[in-house]
Amino acid sequence: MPFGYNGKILRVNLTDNSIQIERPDENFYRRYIGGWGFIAYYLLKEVKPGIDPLGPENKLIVAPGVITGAPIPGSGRNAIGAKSPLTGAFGASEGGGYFGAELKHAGFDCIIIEGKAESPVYLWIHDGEAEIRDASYLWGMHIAESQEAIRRELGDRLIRTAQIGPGGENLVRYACVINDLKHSAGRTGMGAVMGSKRLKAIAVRGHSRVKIADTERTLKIAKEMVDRAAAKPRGAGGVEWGLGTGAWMTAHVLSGNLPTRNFRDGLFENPEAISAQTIKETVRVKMESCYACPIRCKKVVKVDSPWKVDPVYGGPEYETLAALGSNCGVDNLKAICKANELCQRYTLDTISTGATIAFAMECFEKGLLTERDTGGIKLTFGNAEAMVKMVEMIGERKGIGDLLAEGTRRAAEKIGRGAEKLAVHVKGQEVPMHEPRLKRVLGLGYAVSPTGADHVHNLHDTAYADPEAWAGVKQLGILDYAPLEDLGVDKIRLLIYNVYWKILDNCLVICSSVPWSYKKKVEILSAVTGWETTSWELMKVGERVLNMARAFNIREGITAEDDWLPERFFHPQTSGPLSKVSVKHDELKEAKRIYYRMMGWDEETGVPTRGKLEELGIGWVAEDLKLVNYNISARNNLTSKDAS
Amino acid sequence: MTKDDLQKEDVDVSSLILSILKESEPILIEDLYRLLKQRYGIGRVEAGKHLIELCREGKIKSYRYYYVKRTC
Repeated sequence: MPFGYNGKILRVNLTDNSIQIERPDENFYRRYIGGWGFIAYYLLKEVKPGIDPLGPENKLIVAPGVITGAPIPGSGRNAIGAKSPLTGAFGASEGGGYFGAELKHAGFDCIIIEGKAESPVYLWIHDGEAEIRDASYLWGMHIAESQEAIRRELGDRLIRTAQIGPGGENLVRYACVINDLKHSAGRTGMGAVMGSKRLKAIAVRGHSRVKIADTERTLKIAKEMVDRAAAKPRGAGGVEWGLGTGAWMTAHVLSGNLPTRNFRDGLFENPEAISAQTIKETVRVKMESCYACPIRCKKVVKVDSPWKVDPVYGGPEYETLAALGSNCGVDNLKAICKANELCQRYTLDTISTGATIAFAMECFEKGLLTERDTGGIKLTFGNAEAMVKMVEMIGERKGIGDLLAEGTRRAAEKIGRGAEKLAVHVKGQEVPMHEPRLKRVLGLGYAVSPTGADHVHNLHDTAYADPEAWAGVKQLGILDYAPLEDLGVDKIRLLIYNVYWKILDNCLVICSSVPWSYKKKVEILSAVTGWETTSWELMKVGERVLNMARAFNIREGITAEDDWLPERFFHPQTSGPLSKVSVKHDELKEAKRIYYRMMGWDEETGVPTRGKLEELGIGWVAEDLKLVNYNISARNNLTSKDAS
Repeated sequence: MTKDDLQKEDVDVSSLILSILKESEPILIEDLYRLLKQRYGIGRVEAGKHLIELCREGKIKSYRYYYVKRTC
């Protein structure tokens, strides 16, 4: 067994109540690392093409990483994945807190959950053992209540949980899984998959420690990272340190980057009403952190009126402030805090929830939805009370909430009459709160992401807009500066390399709030595992897993046509700095072609070539999935479409 | 001009912002907010609304993302 791992993978079948422990060899660990790597492996190997994501054939993979649970800042995270009920594609998301570390301390590197329970259950994992327990009495509870009930039942206040609330139970397609009440694995609807299996919670407790190859070296690197984080007197743009996300609202608006009224408008009128600074001055009670992390970036808020917001559910991050705030035209901070709390209670992804409500508001404005549809609610942009009410209705799937619980793509298809043009999603996943008309390579990244639009395994052009910031790019071998608006070869190359590293982060499952350099990632993995690894090997892990996710999607019938941006971005914003700027069809098409070519994929179909898969050491993907045939048939399809 | 002067004269916040931007441009948005608070007691929520309005009017614009500068 390699250092850093327990060497044990837990397989739980909820249909026949069987529990098994598997022990993969060291090469498995080194090839796939953990997190997304394990998810991609098991989904490809064990999930048959075309299955219902909400059926018992889907598998839910819970996977921390190799350094998860070690005393290293940003190492308290775990990934969770399955075929997504929102996109029908590769689904994966990551959450922080303490659950992931506790799972490692309990003796397991990964959980594979199969089948479907007859009645609600929860999984109790403790010190190398696991059992399936009745959760009938927990079903329907909000997650603070169910966590309390589980801890009481098992008699341990330090049990950590990953749970679903009523949103997951009701199969809201963008329901998420929440660790420790406030750390969301938000995207791609993993909470709905958990709900479909009637699995209310995973409760863990462990007393072992992660075995480390070189403890002294590991602690030295960990301290360096702590010092590096602590040495910053101010955040980017000179903002006060320690505010968490959401501290740059005015900068976002003035550059056109704050989504406003369903990504339609340009200038959100009251940006600082919903900023992290205002949160600090008005509703914040404290900041919290995740396992072994000194950064303390997680806000905790408390509101007494007009809504009561329970601090046990934390507070809103930037994505939430924008999705439920500016994108809905809402500048009422207390309303956003309440909506965030409801999303936590029900376990709903705040990005998809806010984006879907914003979509519905625009439909209402255009008369595609009326008060008859909404049960008398005036669902107008800026109506804070209506926004809060919608979150609850989605979580309960009541009234119009039942339609909106399907996500924008499906809701738009049902509404029809042009509503599809108002649905801002990629592959069915709602677009996060970053603007592709400004960040052009990010837009390409949205389009080609295997999970649908995602802002984390992506590249934010603005971070490299300053020529001085480009200095950090040269170590990747990209020497010539490319300005913000560039969508050329070097910028696309930067996207690709950056995404490899980001996917690696999702395999290590480390937090991007900790300032890890490429070099430090190599050093920490070497110190923990004893493998004297290199940047080359780690970038190849990222590339390998990205190709596996791609292969999974191709097998599910997702094509190059799905690698595209929503209609909204091909039009300018209505006001502000991007009022004359839009994404151009030809430019995006060409950028996509360059991206495919650089990835070693077929230039037209985007299917990985056999050679590329073999080069990555996963020739079995080509063999098992008959990708060569997919390639040929996909090409034929394109040719016949072109001909017609 | 002090906080007291502001109260007496009911000074327009947008004009104040433009006068500060004339002094030293471009300026970090955060520094602008600090100046407005320290010199005139104007909070960032109020100041933020005026900045957006000035942007709408084309009198200021974003510079290197975290900065703002006058256009007139």
